[in-house]
Amino acid sequence: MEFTDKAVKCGTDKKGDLLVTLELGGNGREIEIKSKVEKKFGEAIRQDVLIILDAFSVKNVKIQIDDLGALDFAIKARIETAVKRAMAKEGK
Amino acid sequence: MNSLYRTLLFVPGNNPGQMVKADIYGADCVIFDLEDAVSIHEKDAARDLVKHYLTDLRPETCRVGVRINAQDTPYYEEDVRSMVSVKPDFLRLPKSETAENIRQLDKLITESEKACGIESGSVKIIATIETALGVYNAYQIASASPRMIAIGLGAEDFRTDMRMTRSEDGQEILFARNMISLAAHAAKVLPLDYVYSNFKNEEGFIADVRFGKMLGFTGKSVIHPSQIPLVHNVYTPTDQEIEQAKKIAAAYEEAMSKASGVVALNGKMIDMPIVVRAQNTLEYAKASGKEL
Amino acid sequence: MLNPSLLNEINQIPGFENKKAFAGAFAAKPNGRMAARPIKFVTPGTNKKFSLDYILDAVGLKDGMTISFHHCLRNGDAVMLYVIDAIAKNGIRDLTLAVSSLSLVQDCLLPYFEQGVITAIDTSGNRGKLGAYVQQGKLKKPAIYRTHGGRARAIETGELHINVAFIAAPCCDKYGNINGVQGKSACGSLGYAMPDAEYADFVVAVTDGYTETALDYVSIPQTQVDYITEVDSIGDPAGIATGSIRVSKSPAELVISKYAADVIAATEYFRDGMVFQFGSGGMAIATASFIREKMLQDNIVASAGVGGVSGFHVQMLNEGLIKTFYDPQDFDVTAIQSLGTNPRHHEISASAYANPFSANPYVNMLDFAVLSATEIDVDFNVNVLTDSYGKLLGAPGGHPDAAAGAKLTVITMPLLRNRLPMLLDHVSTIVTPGESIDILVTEYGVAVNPLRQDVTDMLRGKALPIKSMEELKAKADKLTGKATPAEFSGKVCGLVEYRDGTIIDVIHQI
Repeated sequence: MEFTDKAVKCGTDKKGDLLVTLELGGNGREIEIKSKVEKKFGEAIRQDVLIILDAFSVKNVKIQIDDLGALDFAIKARIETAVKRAMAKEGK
Repeated sequence: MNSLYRTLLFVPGNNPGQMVKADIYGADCVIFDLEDAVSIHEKDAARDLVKHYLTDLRPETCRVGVRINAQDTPYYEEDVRSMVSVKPDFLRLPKSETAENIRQLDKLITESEKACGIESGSVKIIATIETALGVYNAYQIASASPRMIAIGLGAEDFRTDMRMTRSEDGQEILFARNMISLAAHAAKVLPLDYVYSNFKNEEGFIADVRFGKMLGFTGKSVIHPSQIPLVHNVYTPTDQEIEQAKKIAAAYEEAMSKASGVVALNGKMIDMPIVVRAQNTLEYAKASGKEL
Repeated sequence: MLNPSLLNEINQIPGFENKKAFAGAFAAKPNGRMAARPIKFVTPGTNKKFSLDYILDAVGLKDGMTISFHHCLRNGDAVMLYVIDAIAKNGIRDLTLAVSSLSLVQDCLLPYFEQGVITAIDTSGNRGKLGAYVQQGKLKKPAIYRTHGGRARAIETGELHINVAFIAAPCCDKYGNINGVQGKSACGSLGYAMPDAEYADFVVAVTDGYTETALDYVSIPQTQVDYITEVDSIGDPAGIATGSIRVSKSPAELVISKYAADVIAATEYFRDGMVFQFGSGGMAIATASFIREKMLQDNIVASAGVGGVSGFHVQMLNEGLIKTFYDPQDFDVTAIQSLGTNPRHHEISASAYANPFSANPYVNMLDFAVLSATEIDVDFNVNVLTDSYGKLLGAPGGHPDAAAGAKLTVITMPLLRNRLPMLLDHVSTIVTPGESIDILVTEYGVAVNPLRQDVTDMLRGKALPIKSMEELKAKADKLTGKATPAEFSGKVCGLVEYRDGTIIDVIHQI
């Protein structure tokens, strides 16, 4: 995924965490997920992301996720932090 | 869940892997830390993690608190507002120095409770005292608000503020420990002993906990799970103490049923403080898994 | 448990015509006699030591035969590669590799599989590249995964006929006596090689510790060994024997281990004179260390320990907390040395240890066994062979054997590993049936098998975190969130055999 310097980062590469790179704008919601538990929880991860995007009414965004087995709460938290950081960067 | 505060385990609020495991170690309380464990660049992220964690997976076997940032930081206000929304049992305020600090926090919590539609007074306060002024004002701090449930000593920062030299056996903080214990009991809140950071020194730790108990401390802040069973062991009543406590509790029950107003055991009158202490002992016994 | 149509499919495969489905841990009704052992004859003074090429010719190794090895050198083994390479160079192909287990180091054998030198396997464990190869369905027929006791049974009943057994021998004298406790590549107990040595048509010792002098410690006797070949090194000591396995330092594993010890101590099986087995991972050793503390507190001594041995078990043996040890496998240097020097530390064969078709396998002595799992389900069925995607990464080993033999079987297992739940509605592969499993201990609490009302009664009112399986499952689901269920391909590439020879589950291609 290509990002400009508008992008923000969030999270760590520790066990149970995830690394998020997020940039507001673009065409629709582009979400790329890499995870060791992709087969079992890829869909659940995607749902977590959508819940937060809906909560913040974000329609156009690019997100890259490197997941290390994070639970739902951590995924939602990291996406929320990333969205808020991106919005702050835009001066919203 | 028991109503004791023998152990309070600090868990970094920016480490989801550790947060998930917070409640498996048997601590009476878990404190999610937004302060010292979290870098200034991650204060926002820690808040979101703790908020979502307490919303989705709030521990059911222990009490939950959050250590917010100190009142003179730019993070303090947002910490309180966002954390109150997830109804922790208490907020722990570092660097508490005056009664006014507590009153201000109380006010902000009340506002936040109202804004979130939470019953007023739900969220309690524990104050960490870690400066000379704080120790000096310990009683005022402990009695500054009906939300106060405990005060604790932050030894690291206290030593710095006092320009103390650290000693092997902690002599230099003895006065502060005594002061915190005295002030807490005088204000009818709980005194919490300081964090003993060298968790590898098991013998030293146990001796320290024992000494704290002797001084009247009812619990200890811990930073490593291995410390928890050691603290609980020290606070486990002996069989003798339990037997005696049972007798006193029974004498109290008898007096109540007879409405005689006088609690007596073996011909001697027993004051209420002794009854309360006996009931307390039985609670500790139960929490330690001892058969009553 | 096993689909009847699957069993039908299995019965069509040559060699598996008589396989039946698992019908219960003690449903077997064996009768008859063990298979006949080969008659051997040598005149006094016969030389047994030759080059490997000479031996391969002398034993008449041909295409389609079955060769065997033991896995007592674990990840330090160099013998399998050496022998199979020589076999390949001699143009022999289509062999069945019958081993007591396969470790990651045996990935080096992959080229010989690809070249068709080996076309079938008969083992306990399978992992790494070889495991992946098997799961691509590339063997001529499904692999068969046996327990330690089951393999001994298969050899001794003749179901598994071994043409040539190659026995890695840390120490071997000119008469053919072998032991595993002496020499630079000492590995300890050779228990897993003993059934092979007794029943194989030909037995070849492969040694880097050859001596002209008669051995004073004999594990496998000269009466069974036909040939000896000498090599520079049978393996890497670092891979053969680890340094002493330490008590786990992980706080979460310590929580589980402490619960396990508390639970065991609350039952009637924790008593003076008890017999027990502990696994050898960090968590098992932590449980052992908590049990040890309780034994010291209560002045209790175990009359025997059974199973694999590491430094911690030896410490307890030397302290007199365990009176005697029956040992089919050693994991570290301390254990190996103890076996070689302590008369109360006995080497036993895999057959004596766990073969169910005997007057009393040693696992039947167990008051309790503490074992691990890769997965467990709500019916207490346990998986130790595959991960949650059905991928081969472990071995049945002695798990079903110890679980069946022990009066109390305790599984210690984290409820989650990363995000993956370890407690499921159905395990990916059933290896040990739920009826053999009595207690599950996790960091979130302890569940007792409803089949054991007596154990539930023993544990009542003892301040233990007892939960129902349903409660633990709900906790796991709450933590991990909704999982997409795993899908397995229909194609069978392996059979999971229960200790009595019946088939309890299958391995699917990936």
